[in-house]
Amino acid sequence: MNSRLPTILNTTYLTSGLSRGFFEFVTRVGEARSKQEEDRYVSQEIVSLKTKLNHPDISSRKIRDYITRLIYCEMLGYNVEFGHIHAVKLAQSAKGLWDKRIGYLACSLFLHETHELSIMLINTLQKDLKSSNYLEVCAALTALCHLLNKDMIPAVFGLVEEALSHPKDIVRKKAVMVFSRLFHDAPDTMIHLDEKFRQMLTERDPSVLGSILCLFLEFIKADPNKFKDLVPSLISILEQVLDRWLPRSYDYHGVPAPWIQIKIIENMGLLARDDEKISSEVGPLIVHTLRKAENGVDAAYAIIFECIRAISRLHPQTLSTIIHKSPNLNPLNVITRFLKSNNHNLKYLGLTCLSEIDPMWWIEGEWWGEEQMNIIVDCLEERDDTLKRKTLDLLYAMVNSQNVVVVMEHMINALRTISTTDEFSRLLLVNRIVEISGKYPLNLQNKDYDKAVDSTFLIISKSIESKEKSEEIRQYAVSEAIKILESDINNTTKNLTSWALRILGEFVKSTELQEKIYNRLCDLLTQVDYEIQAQVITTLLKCVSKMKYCPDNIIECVAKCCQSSSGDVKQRSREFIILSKDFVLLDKIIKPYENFDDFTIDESLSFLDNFVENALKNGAKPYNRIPITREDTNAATEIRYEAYEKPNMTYFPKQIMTSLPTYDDSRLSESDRDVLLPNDRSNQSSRGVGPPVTPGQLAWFGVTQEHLPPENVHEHTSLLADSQEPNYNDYEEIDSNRQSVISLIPKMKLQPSTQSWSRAGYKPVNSTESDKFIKYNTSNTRSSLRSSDKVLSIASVTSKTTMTPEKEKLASALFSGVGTSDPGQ
Amino acid sequence: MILYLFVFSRHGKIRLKKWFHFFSDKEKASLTTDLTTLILSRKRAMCNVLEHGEHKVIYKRYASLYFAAGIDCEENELYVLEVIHRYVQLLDEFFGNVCELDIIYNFDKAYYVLDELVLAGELQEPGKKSVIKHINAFENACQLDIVTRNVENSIV
Repeated sequence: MNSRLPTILNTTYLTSGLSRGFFEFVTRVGEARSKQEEDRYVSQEIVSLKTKLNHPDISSRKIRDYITRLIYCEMLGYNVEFGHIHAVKLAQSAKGLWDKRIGYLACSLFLHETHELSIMLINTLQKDLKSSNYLEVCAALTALCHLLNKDMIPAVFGLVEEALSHPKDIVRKKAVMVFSRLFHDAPDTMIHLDEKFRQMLTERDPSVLGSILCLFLEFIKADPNKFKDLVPSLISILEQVLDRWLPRSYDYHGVPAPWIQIKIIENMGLLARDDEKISSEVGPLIVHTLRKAENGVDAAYAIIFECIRAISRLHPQTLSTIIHKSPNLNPLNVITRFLKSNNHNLKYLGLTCLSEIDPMWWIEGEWWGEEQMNIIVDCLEERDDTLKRKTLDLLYAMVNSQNVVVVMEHMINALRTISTTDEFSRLLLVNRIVEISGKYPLNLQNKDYDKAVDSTFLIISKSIESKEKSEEIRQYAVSEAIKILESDINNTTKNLTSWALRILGEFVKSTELQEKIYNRLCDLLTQVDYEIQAQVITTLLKCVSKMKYCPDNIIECVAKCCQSSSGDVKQRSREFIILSKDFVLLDKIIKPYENFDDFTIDESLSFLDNFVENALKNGAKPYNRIPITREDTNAATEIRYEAYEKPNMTYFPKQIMTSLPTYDDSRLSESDRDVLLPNDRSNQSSRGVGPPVTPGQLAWFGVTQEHLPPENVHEHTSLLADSQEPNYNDYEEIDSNRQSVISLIPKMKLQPSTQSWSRAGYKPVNSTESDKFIKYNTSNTRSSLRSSDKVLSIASVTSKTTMTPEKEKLASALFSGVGTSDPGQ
Repeated sequence: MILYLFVFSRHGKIRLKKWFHFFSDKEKASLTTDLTTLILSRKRAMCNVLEHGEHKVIYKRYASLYFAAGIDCEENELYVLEVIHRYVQLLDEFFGNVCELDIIYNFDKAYYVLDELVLAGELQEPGKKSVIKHINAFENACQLDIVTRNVENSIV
């Protein structure tokens, strides 16, 4: 911006068509260095505009200018309500097209459908809709799209209907858009126009076609059955588009009319839902569209996305034929391409597509494999928030009885890290967690349930801090808890009861505490087992601390518990009896849940130091620690320079002694040697006898005598016998061999067992499920994991991070059970 | 359906703002500030899609301007990205090598172009040529109108 030149000579000014005053205003605001400066300029301008607009007689040129300035101020975020009426006046009294345009623009920006002033425009709009100048009709229709509300409908309906048959296609197009807007407000009024709209599907002008398709999308969403007869015409239109019958100007980067394609596919997907006949007609065409769109442009990806969405809605029969036809032609292969790409948008697309498709179709080997698993696990830890959330959505979609534990863990972690202001996502996560824990209660062990309960506490306490809706939540939680406790205690699970007790203890207010709650708690003491008893006592303690008053019957009940055989209950009941009399002490002890994170536990018990000192002074004996180490502790701390004695042969029977496992090259495969302890290759000849291996240990590793390879006993003894003056190297070898022997034992011929050891750790196999599962899992483990480094190396070329063993474990845990028909679902 | 469209600069100043769906004033203000801060804090290589409450926001950066469109959950995200790109192409065609200054000083014209492209939250005109043709027709008609009025006034 040349600020040195006077405004008149400034080229930007000359080409902008704005008035000089406005231009200078905009420049000043743009160059303002601070928000306060900008505020000052704009408020000055608004004040001057107010006065200027209130003048009775302003030329149209000036009022155009003022209204434009008003638009500008409103855009910056300032309140210009006084100007709304002037905008309406301008639109009403506009003499020329330009004034009208600015007036309508201002109105559509300032007003909204429920604004009172919009009614004043009805007359103007009607006049313009009847005008012979098609531009005026267009302007009116455009404004109508923004301002339409229920009161206006009867007045303008007829005119808009007429516009549907206007000779100019632009007018027709805009009229259709008005109707699509109208459909939201008053769908019933449009029923008689059904025929007319269907006829318009045969329109020659592509833009009108586009808008009709939008309209039909709305119709079909509301009621698909009525429009199933549209399928043939939709199919023919799509085929024409794909064959490039539309004029060239509708091409977008080489893709013919992508928007129309997308709309048609969306329509077809909705129509084909749950309907086999339509699915079979429509399915092949969608696949064909997908193929044509694979030319790598952005618009093409949008089409592919829509195709996959539509495919996911098809009837399962059709879907299975499409997928199983041949693996190369499987349309779902594109998802793999998306996931592997480095571009975040494509990854997002891949994840979204995956979550659209039912996990039932994630069939191993055909298009779904370990690479995808790894990539998805990577996405969980991406810095990009969107990808993380999408992966969580995906996890939710594929939860089944096998991976529910892992999924829950991730969801709860995510819940902790999401900021407190983002209520919507927190709510969504909580709903999902609750849903999942309801569906798979048996698979979730206590530990995970605790985590889930903890997170609900976190949410409740944090929302109480935030004050909004806190009272509602709190009351609701407390009343639910009371309901649970009052119901028959034998019917409710232990977890639920303990949850209810905790809620009651933490969140009940003293005003709500009534006799009946106390009585109920006392009753519970007699009915439940030790764990719950302990919790009841603590809850009572918390209630008492809030009430600062303890009824006698409670003390009696609790006193009975002092005789309990459980140490925990005894302790708690005695504490209760003492604390219930001393409220000052009680206050210091009972802390509200929000401050839980500030809790630090002093493990050295330093606060008791004074007590200890006093006791010692008074003659108490100091605590005598009994050493747990062996007798010859002194010797053990130094390095030993002499050889150990020969091991006592009577430790274990001879047969095992002679057949200790050794590292024998021929037995092990190449990959194992590569994998474990590569430095051992040099130590092949030397052997070492490790610490005496008992028969029990050998049995644990599943090694039995018949499976052990023959070895050379002399080699063993020779090493030890010869080394009178062993140097460090020998010891290193021996130590490493010890290691190697022990760690290699599992690699020896193992008895066939369902436990498969692998680099990635123990793979859980659910033996209670059908055979299909076990077959799936075991066939998967060895082959895919052995070759997993090779797969990894390919994957690492395309993906940024390398897989750590933990991630592999996570991946295998997450995706176990996916892709098979889970009876639990 | 596209719910709203913002165009803002790298410093968070709004250049264009259009609502296609009804939001209360408070919601409008909070959405504006939230989105500008969220989008400005995103890095270059990150996804172009942002999830904000119930809506998704698709944004793209063109030189010093960010174009952000909010959509509801059912819409195809890449489709909206293409709509944004189409809009920028149209502005380019209309203004000739459009830059931020053009949009600052000619925001009313930018609004007209937007109105021709997106109506009631849906793309109404996929073809570039027809949009430009229509807007130019409008412009010419306005100019003609002014001239005839001036002539009339001078005669009278």
